[in-house]
Order: sequence, then C-alpha cells, then structure tokens
Amino acid sequence: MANLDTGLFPTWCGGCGDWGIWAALKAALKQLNLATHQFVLVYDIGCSGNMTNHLRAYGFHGLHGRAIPAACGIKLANHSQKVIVIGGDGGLLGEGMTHFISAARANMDITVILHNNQVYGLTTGQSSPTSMKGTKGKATPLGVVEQPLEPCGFALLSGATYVARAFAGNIPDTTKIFVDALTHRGFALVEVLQPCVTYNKLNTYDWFRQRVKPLPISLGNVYEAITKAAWTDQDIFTGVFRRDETLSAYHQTFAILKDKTLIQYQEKRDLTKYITSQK
Amino acid sequence: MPEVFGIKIAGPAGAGSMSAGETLVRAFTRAGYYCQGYPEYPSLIKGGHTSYLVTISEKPFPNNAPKVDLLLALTQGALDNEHQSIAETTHIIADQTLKADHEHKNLHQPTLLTVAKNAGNPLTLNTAMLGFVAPQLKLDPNLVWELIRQELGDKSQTLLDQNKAAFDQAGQLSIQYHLNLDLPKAINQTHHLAINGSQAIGLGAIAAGINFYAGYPMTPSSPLLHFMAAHQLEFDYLVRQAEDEISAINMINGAAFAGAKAMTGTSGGGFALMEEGISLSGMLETPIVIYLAQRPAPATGLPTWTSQSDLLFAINAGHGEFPKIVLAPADPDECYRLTHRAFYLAQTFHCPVVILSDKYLAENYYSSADFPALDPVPLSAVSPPPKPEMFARYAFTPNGLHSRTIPGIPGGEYIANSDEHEAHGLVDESAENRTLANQRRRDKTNEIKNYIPLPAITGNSDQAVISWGSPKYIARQVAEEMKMAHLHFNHLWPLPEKLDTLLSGYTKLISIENNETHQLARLLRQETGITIHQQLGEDTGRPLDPGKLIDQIKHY
Repeated sequence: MANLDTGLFPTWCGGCGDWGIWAALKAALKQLNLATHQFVLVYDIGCSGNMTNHLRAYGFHGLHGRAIPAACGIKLANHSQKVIVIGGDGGLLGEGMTHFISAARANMDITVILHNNQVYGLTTGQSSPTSMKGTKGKATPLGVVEQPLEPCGFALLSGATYVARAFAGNIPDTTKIFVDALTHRGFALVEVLQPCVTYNKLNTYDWFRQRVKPLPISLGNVYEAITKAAWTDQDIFTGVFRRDETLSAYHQTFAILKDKTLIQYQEKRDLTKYITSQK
Repeated sequence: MPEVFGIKIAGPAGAGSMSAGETLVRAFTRAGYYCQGYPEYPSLIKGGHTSYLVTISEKPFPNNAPKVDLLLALTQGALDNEHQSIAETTHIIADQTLKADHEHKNLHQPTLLTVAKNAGNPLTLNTAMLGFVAPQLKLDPNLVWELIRQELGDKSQTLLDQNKAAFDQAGQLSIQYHLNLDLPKAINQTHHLAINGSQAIGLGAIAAGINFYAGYPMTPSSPLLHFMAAHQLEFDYLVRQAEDEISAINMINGAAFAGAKAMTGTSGGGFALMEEGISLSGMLETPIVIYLAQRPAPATGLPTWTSQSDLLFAINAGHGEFPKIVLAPADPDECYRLTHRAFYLAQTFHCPVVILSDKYLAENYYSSADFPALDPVPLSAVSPPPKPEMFARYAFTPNGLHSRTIPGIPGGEYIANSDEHEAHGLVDESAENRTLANQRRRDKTNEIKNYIPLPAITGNSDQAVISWGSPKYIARQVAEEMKMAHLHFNHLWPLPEKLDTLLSGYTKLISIENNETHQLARLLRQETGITIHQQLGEDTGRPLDPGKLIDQIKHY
C-alpha cells in the first residue's frame, strides 16, 4: 500500500472524533492492501469532509448532502473501484436523506461512513437530525423539538444490506468494522459515534464510554436488528447489525456490467436499424 | 394546389388522437410529403381535449398550417372545441351521431362509431377514422395499416383483430365518399425520416458514446428519458431513474469524474434544482451534458405547452463564475448533431454543456433527412508517469485547458475538490491561488469562443430577422415573406467573437422568440452593445404565428 499522506495536516479540533475515524480508515485501507488508484473517497461537506485533503488517493469532494449520489455515479461508471463515502449526520441525513434512502433501497455497492457527532460542527454548532430532543443549538436556542433520527435503524428499514456502528474512541474496533464493511458487497452503512469536543457538550467521550457496549449476540432478522440498534439510556451497541449478501448489488443486476465496466464501452454504435424503423 | 395542407385529429385524452396523428405523419412522409406533426394536450390522462395537427407540404420543414383543411373529430367535444380552428372550406369528418352547431357545406358523417362497435371495441374509433380517411388523402391503405400495426406493438391478438376489422370496414365505407381534397405535391425525395426532437437528441447521445443517463420524470423532458431507457440494452449504456433531479446531476458529476460520458435531462423546475450541481461541475471541471426541455413557467406553469423562457436561466445557471456552454438545436438534424457536439465539447473543455429544447421541438414530429453515422467522442483521460505528489489535474496552462485522469489509472490520483483548490485539487484559500484559478476559468471561456460558430445566415438583405432554437422555421418564413435575411443562433453561450461586426452590418434587426421578455435580444445587447430594433414574440404556450409576426413588422 502506497503512502496515503498528502503533506497537509488535518485542521480538526484536538480530541475530535474525526481523528480516530481517519486513523481507523487509513489502517483499514492498509489492511485491505488496496493501491491508491483502486478506490475513490467521496466526501460530503462538513468537518468530516475536510478529510479530503488528508488522504492521497482519488477523491471527490462534492456538495453538502450530495456525496451519496456522486458515489453511486462513480460506482456505476466503474464498478471495479471501491467507493467510500465520508460524511456527517448533517449532510447525509439532513439535505441528503432522500439519497441515503434511495441508495440503500438500491443496494448500491458503496460504503458510507457516517460521522455522527449530533451537531453541525463546521457551521459552528447548530442542531442536526441526530441531536437529542431538547438540545440547544445556535439556531434552536429553545431546544430541539424533534425526535432524533437513528441512522442504523433507519438504514435497516431502508433495506441497507450492511449496517454497523463503531465508536471513534476505539480505533482498533472501528478499524475491524471498516475492513468488514469495505469487503461487503452492497450498500454498507457504518455509523461512527464521533464526539464533537467543541459544540456537543452532552454526548462526550465519557458519556459514550458509559453506554457503548459490543453487541452481545449475532442477530436474526432485520426487525430484531432495528430493536438492538436503538439507543437507550443504558446501552448503545457497537458491532454489525446486519450483513446480508444474498441480494445482488445494484450494478450486478445489469448484464452489460458482468464482464466489463460501463466506461469500457467505447465502441462505435450502429444506428442504422433504429433509423430505418423510423422511415 | 396549396403549398401546405393541415389535417387535425381531435378527441379527449385516451381516445388515440396522438397515435393517429403520428401515424399520419409517418404515412405522409413515406408518401413523399414534407410533414410536421404538432400535438396539443392538457396535463391529464383521460378526458379533456387533445388534438394533433399534421401539416403536409411540398417544401421542407413546414410550419403549422394556418388553417385546418381537414378536421377529424372523434367525439362531440372534439367537434365543439375545434370551432375556432375551422374555416368555411374545411372538410369535417365526424360520426353520424355527432351534431355540428351550424351548417357546414363540407361536413361528412359516416357511421364510424358503428364500424368501431361492430369491430368489437369502440376504442378502435381512431383506427376506423384512419381507415376512412386514408383513401380520401390518397394514402395507400396497406401502408397506413402497417404503420398502425407497428404502433400497436405487442398488443393482444384480439385487439389487433379488432383494429384491423375497424380499419377495413371504414375503408369500405369510404368508397361511397369523394371529398376531392386539394393536396400539395408529393415531391419529398430527401426527408425520409419521421422523427421527433427527443428521439434525435437521444440518437445523438448514443452516437457520441453515452455511458450513463440519469433523470427524473418531468414534461417535456420525459420523452428523452423514456427513449434512453428503452434503448439501453441495445446500445450498451445505463439509465437510472433518480430519486430527484439533485441526485441526477450529482450522479452524472460522479460518473463523469469516473470517466463516463454522462447526461441528464429535465425541464425548468428540475433544472432549478440542478443548479448547485451545475456549479459543482464548474468547479470540478467534469464533462457533463444537461438537456433542458423548456415549458412555460414560472413554477408549474403550463406543463404540456411550449416556451423559450429559460435561455438566460440556462446561461446564468449555477452560483459563481465558470465556463459553461449552451446549445439550442431547432430540428431533428440539429438535435442529433448538436447533442453529439455537446459531448465533444464537454470532453474537450471539461465543463457543463446545456442543450436547450422546448416542448415544440421535443414532441413535434418532422420529416427529416437521414442522420449521418458519427464516430464516438473519445474519452479524455491520460496515464501520467507516477510521481510522489498527486497528479496536477488543475495545472495552470496558457489556454485554460488541461488533461485529466480517471480513477483506476495509477499515478493519476487527484482530488476533485468543490473547495477552491491548487493544481492537485488540495484546498487552497489564498488570494494568489484564487486569482490563478479565476484566470484559468476565464481563459477557458475565451478558448471555447474559438469553437463557437457565427449564426447561420440565409437570404441577402441589409435587414435581418434573428431567432434561436425551435422557432427557426417560423422566423425563416417571416424573413422570406418580408424579403429579409435570417440569422439563426444554435450556439447561445458563449457567444462567438466578431458577432458585433456581423450584427452591425444590418440596418434593421428584428428578434423573434417564444418568450415574453425577448431574452436573446437582451443577451445580444449585453454582449455586443447592439440594440435589436424590433423585439417580437410572446409566451402563450403556443408556437408563434408567422402571420401575426408579419403584421407586427408591417405595422411597426
């Protein structure tokens, strides 16, 4: 595995969960022994997306909330590439919610690493779709009225064939889950609990350490998985809630992608038959 | 003998006036006429009033016939609604049970509904109408039946039998009638295709080597989505119906980054949603093609009607300042060639290219000359020698152009970064880098201008009519009747160099556009300082009326 260093050093706050995710992702890519031209990192906009400048590989830093459709386009154009989405709860579950559901339903063969810090960090501390009820953000000074969205349960209901949760404070376990997710064929979500040390004073490392526990059993069906994936005041399980490769990934359902990638089709097309039919 | 002859078939949605109209266009094109088929329909599935006007002519690209010479009314509603389109001399064919509100000397009332019912299916009335009218129009009934048969496709044998019975029985009935219609000369030896703008744009994309099309349904862009979807297996590309237009544009940005020749299509509302993604293409320099089929707006507007009100919207789409190309074909041949060219320009300049059409062009059928076979547009990608640093995808070059790599190429790693970036795509917010990046984008726009032709000129006069997009032949008819030159633009942005010199050579310029605020006239003034003397056009959802335009010029 070639060097992943771009020469630029990250600008995250000291102690941010993003450091742990960055370290785990680099370790996972090294373990998988992928060359830097064999995968594409697709970044959303936010603190997570600022990882863009710190991995020397093919990268696509798109629009806020829109990393998933860009990743789908990349995967369909060249499915020999591993496609990894780096995004946050704000982008992927706020503006990007429709894309998240759609890609999960389609079982697009991409790995979505969702940095869940329950806050908009880069825009300096507004509440997010996963903020806990009552959280006071800069734009919600009276407290969040909404229920928090649960990314894992939501992904499971949307048909995601791989759903896992990791904790940025535990780099070895996060690495293991990343390796597992990256080898899954189909839509994979890894929710990473990512404490924001600057804007989220509630869901801190200590807060998580009191609740995070490895998932005790392997799970049977999706609805059992949804139940176990739910946060309770006592337990937030980490581990793999679903891993199902019995369904084809989206690109595998197309005969033309069996032996070639889409971009390998460069032949001249003969329109004669169709044009003749219009005479 | 008239130069054009208009046939209108009308009825509620679902009664088959659209398919019957298209069948007539195909039949007349085969019989040696130049035709245009023009559908009108409201935004609903059953009921309402729909009509299909077939204009046949001895000259290429006829505009809609100024009056209907033959009205084929499928129902009482059709007869009542078309009151305004008929003249004293119009021949009307309507079932015996229908009632005209006053005397018509050329009203013919065969028992077509009885024929349809006897055939076992009252819905075969449109087929019965064609069976009746074919001999009166001197069309070979075997040819017309063959075209109906094609239109019915894989329908059940029962339905085919019912239609055939209706067609034949109506033909028998027709023998007793002698309408003696005064038709133009059938002298078309060149325009053998009967095709609409959407099909031609699809064929242009296929010829260019499209790999990926993503879209979300919206009239009048959906016919292209359907065409692309229907032919993906035959021509080895992929179509994805996206969850929304935002997804579609971001998907094609991703696909284009990864090397796909990628395209999306939409109408005004969807294009509005795509704007941020167009701006993204401007920053990442992805080669993408966006088809914008215009309809009257604002908001939902008139969903199934035509308009040219998105020219300036397309040119200015996306926040920020970046190179973009806007093309506007006027007929199937231009649709085919300019769509192929859009892919070529996208691969050459790595920028978004917008193809503007409208409902008129997207859904009208035209008799067209054969399309030439075209080579696929080569994929622009290089394999650089590996270096310790990433590939300098965005290096500064004298003309703003540079080579790119795609994922999978070792040594080509770079970041396509929506943040302002340096040569390798790494974020760089310095004023120095920003200045350089701005200059690169400006240089590229200037370079593109070298590829943009001046407008096509027909006629020789010191006065000229100017137009863009689908009203080309309406403007040309006006120019010819007024003995003026005609300047037609199909490259709208950037505008070519030396355009000011060309325009200032005319003593009078008259713009004709299917919009309310004369957008091309405003654009030309903005870019050349030249004022268009008379600015004509309106945005009623209907195509412009050459007769009215000529009156406006005469009474200026």
